[in-house]
Amino acid sequence: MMRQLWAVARKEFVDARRDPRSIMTLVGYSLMGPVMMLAAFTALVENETRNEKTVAVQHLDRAPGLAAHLQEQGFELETLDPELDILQAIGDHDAILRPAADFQASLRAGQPAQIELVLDTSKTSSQSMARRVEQAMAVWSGELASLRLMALGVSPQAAQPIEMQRRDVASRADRAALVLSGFQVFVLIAAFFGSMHVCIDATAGERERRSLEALLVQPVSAFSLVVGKWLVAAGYGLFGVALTLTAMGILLPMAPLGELGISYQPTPQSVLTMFALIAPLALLASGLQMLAASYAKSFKEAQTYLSLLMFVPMVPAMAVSFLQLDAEPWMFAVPVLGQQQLLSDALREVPPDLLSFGIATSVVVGAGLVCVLITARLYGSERMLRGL
Amino acid sequence: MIQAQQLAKRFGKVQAVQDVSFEAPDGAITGLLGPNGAGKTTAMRCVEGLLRPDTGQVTIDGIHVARQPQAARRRLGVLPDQFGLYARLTTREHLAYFGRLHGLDRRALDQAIGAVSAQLQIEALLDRRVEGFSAGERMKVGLARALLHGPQNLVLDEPTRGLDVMSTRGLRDHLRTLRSAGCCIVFSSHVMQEVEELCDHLVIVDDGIVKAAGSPAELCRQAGQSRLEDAFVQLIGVAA
Repeated sequence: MMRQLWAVARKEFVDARRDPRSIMTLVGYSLMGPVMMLAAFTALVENETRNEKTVAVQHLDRAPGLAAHLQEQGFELETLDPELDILQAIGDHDAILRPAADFQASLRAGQPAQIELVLDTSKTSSQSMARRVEQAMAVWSGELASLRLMALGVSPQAAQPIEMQRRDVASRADRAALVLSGFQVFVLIAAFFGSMHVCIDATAGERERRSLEALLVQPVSAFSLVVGKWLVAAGYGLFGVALTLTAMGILLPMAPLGELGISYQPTPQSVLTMFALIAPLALLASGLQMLAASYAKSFKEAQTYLSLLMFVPMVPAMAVSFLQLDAEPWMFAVPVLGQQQLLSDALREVPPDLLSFGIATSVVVGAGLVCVLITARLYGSERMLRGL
Repeated sequence: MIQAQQLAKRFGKVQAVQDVSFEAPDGAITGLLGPNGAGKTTAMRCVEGLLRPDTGQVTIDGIHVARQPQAARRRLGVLPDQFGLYARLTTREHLAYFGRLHGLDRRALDQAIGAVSAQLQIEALLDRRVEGFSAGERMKVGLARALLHGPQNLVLDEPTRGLDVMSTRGLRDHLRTLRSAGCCIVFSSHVMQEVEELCDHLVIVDDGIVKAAGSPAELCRQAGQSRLEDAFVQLIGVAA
């Protein structure tokens, strides 16, 4: 039996290796996640740290102190034509300050001096610029208030009864785990994508190309046939996970994560650990896909089933983030969710807990074997001949 | 030798095979002849052990197919409808795969591949991938696969469908050679000329029932017709 099982695995391996679509799905989807994350982080950091310094002011002459103050805060000024329509001007500028005509007079009289901040909240760049201008104006306003209080003989501290300080206790690794949680989903999906095409081709594809009947009349058990096919599909899944993790290991250090206050340096060892945590999931993913694709009468039908199955690895991760669930021990016993928890711990550089790993792994491997056994039963039954 | 006794098989409401019995002896070619939907394929699948008949039984060289499908299949070579090949594999890889499924070790496999490719004259096809093969070449690869393990019994399902004249003649020659070597050959067809020329024994099936059996000459005599086609039409009871 082992010899036959091996013969099936060997044939499926050669067949899949020569199918450009198997390789394309595997490599394409494995690299998609890491590349997208690198691009997203780079764009994010660029946005956050882009220091657009120039603030536009219309009627600068109405507020003589303003220019000096903004320059002191690191801004550069651009004076706008007083005749310019403000709705047009905002298209070219992130924020425009417009002191009121009586700005200086109100200031002298001790009345609130009116100044208008024009912004466009539909643009992120305008939002962040306006926030920085607001902060700068608040500082100026505070300074003026302190001066007035002192002139009245009152201590400026009287106007500041409470002083709050922020203290963020999240470690850099914790923050990294939060930012990198998107990465978890990509790794979990890789276990499914890697084996998808091979599973369809070896089951529904074989049926569609009419080679199934010739195979079923051979003196070989359905179990050997299905396990042989499964081993190759699972191998592709494992390769997908390995490729995704390797690409992450190489690409993530290129992302300017330090600028976001995150330190994440994947080492070969941590990548290997993550591989060991996620690898068992590939056995379940390919088993589940084999089962679903074996029920399909055609390649297309199998593709439909398997694209729906793609949501499986996303559900637990989404549920946890939408429902704001905290890690609980039972989660390790739920397929996919368990792997996600293990991965999340690994990203936070928490050493893996052997018991949790054991539970999560036995659950997915067991469920994978059940799928394979059901598929083998199907292969041994007359139902397999439907439509042939 | 293949013996089928009183086979019946129902799928849901459809009685695909009602009562089919026949005996295909060694050293002879037995044809299963019938119109489309007569139950030929279902009967063949019972012989191959893919379907388990509701009643009746099939034995191959005395081995009960439903009880010992693996042992029975070891004595059986099958050329399925449309040959069922893998486009991305070479001829040699096909033969090696199916040889291994039959448990041949490396040496036996090399020998068997050498022998069967010489017999069917496919040495030039051995290391080419099957995609792009003509229908005739595909048929040869399928036949080589069926003969690789040297089966005593050979089953072919409409083997000449899609073949040109030369390939059909080639297949006929191969089958005659196998017959003289003592093989038991069963094939299904609805092509009159083909069965007339090739078969020693004919089993006419319609509506899942054997309507008549005998040599082509016997069937013509039985129906009082001079042409097999006319005899066939009369025997299955369709008004001409």
